[in-house]
This record gives sequence, structure tokens and C-alpha cells, in this order.
Amino acid sequence: MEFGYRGQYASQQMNMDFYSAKGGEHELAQAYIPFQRYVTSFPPKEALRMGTMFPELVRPYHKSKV
Amino acid sequence: MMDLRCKMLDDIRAIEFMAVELNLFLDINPHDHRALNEYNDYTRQLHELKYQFEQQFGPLTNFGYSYSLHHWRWIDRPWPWESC
Repeated sequence: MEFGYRGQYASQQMNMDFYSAKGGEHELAQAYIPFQRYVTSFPPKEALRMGTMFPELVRPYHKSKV
Repeated sequence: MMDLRCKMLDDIRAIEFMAVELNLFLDINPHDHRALNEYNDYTRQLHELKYQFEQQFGPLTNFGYSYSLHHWRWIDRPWPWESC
């Protein structure tokens, strides 16, 4: 028993050609996330206020001036 | 001047937040012994803080997560999220 559909499957080259035609020299996005190392933490109250216990992850929102 | 009940709730919130943060970190780094030790230490503190709070001010949760000795304290106001 074979599974699949009766149409044609794309080759790798077909897809590469499609993207190089669309995006020029740019490549598709690839997500990369480095592993976090535990260095130090805020004390509990400050962590709650900062929204994270990890100083390297503080991302405060600033009011837009627009 | 913050009353004792509100101060204890603040402590519980802060310690529980540390447990959540370390929980999330440990999901990605399960072999980090320091994070694991701190998680267990905050968990112990959290149990103690919640126990102390519930002794004085009544249950923090219902549905079988907190005891209600002597009478049904869940309906006594303020509820945990009120008046702080």
C-alpha cells in the first residue's frame, strides 16, 4: 500500500528557486534562542516588580510619545 | 501603614512568583542544581507562609486545596483578593 497523492511532489530545487525568485538573496527566517545560564537573581519583591527574577530578561515598557 | 494581612499576602505573592520563575527556568534547564535548590527552598517558604496566613486569616483557596477548621471560613470576608 502506498500513501500519498497523485500529483507531483516538489523537488528541493523547485522550492529553492521559488524563494530565491521571491526574496532575492534573503533567506527564510530561522529562530535561534541561546540557552540561558543562571547567573544571579533579583530578591523576591524586586523580581515581582520587574516582572522577572532574571536581571538579563528585564524588558520594561516605555510610554510612547506619539 | 500596611496591615499584617496585606503584608503577608505581598510576601506570598513575591515568593510564589520566584517559584514560578524557577519552575520555568528548570523546564529548560532541569539539571541546574542551584536553580533546583532555590526552587525547593522557595517552595518550602511558600508552604510555610500560606500555612501561617491561613491559620490567621482563613483559606487562600477552596475546592479541597485548603482546610477550613471549626467552621466554613471560605464565605468569611475579606476574600484573599479583597481589600489590599
